Amino acid sequence: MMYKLIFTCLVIISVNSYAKGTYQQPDEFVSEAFTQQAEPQIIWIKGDLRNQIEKILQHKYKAKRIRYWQHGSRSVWVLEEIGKKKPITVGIIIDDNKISLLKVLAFRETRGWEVRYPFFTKQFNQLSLKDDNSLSGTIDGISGATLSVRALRKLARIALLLNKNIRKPVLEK
Amino acid sequence: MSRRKKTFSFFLWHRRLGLAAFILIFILSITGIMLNHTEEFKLDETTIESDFILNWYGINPVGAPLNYKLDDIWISQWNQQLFFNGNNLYTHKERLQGAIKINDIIAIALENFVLLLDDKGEIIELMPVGTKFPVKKIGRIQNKISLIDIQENTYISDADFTSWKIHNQPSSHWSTPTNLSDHKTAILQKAFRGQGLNLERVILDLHSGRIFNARWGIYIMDISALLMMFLGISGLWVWWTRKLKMRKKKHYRKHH
Repeated sequence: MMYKLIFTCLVIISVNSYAKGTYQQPDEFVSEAFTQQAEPQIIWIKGDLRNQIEKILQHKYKAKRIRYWQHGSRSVWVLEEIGKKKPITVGIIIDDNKISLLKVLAFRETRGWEVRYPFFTKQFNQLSLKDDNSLSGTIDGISGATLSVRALRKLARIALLLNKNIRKPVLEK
Repeated sequence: MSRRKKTFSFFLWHRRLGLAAFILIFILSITGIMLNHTEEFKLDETTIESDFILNWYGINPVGAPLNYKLDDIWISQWNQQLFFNGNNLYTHKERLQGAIKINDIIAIALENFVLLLDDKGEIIELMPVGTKFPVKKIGRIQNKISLIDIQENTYISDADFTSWKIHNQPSSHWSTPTNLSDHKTAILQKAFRGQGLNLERVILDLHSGRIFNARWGIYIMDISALLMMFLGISGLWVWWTRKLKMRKKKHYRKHH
């Protein structure tokens, strides 16, 4: 009985330590997104854009600018949001104003790491942003990973919102 | 087991558990009385100055702060906490490697990141530097940021500080740490401690058991509360069985 208990504990500890970590470096994610090297660009977070981001996040956004990479209709974003206590780093590729890939690059919490798996992240594929800054489709949650799921939903909305903003001058022309 | 033996073992456990729980019940009672009279004892107005207790709570910085001076701005780090002119700025586990000012932008180098600020201390961006090895020093080449890693590779930023490239010419203006005056160290210590710690918080945590451990400390006090209940019941049991025994003895003496 005791051996079974110790074995179960070891399995849980090893699964947790395996689950936490950096799965891909942001620069690798960016370089995989483009066939040619893309230089980073900047979007400044101020005025109405800041208000909209803070409304999605439901808290203040500290940084004044965000870097992104763009080529043609594709833009790539590496964003972070706290799940419960620690930030989750997510890479998002947007093609024609729709998410084509959302990938968890680093997960630092002890719980909720299931959000990194494709069975969950592929739900974001082909989603766009509605006028009220909500996602065009629903994302099914994962029990025990509510806060991580919420963080990823927020980041997907922010990436789409930022993408919409960098496209604005082009559309206005 | 005979009835006499059973009563004796119950009495024995009453004694053993009573002795084991004595200190916890003592703490629980004294702290309970103190909390009932918070205002009279001025618990909420009394600030804890003891280094031992502040260390226990993890709100006392250890060692000496690192400091870099940029004109009238001073950037410091003490136990993972970064400060801008003595105010809390950002918490990061990486060590501060230097800080430089280019026009109204301040660049703070950590081992794998550069934190960009404006001259009022507002964060512009925390950006990964993508150097091959951790950053050792930060400097300036004209209006660009220069970094050197621990393998002596030199990197230079673009004009917007968005990307880094390997560069052959090292900076002539490397950031170097400076000493802090006692007054400024005291300011940092105060900022690190934040609102500080009052006696009421300590007494409350002692009463709930959280002072021992945030997660399982409360169970220690739960056990002592259960022990107190057991002691009451076992005391009553011992008293009742002794009373019955005395009554039987009296009855026996009367009729024999």
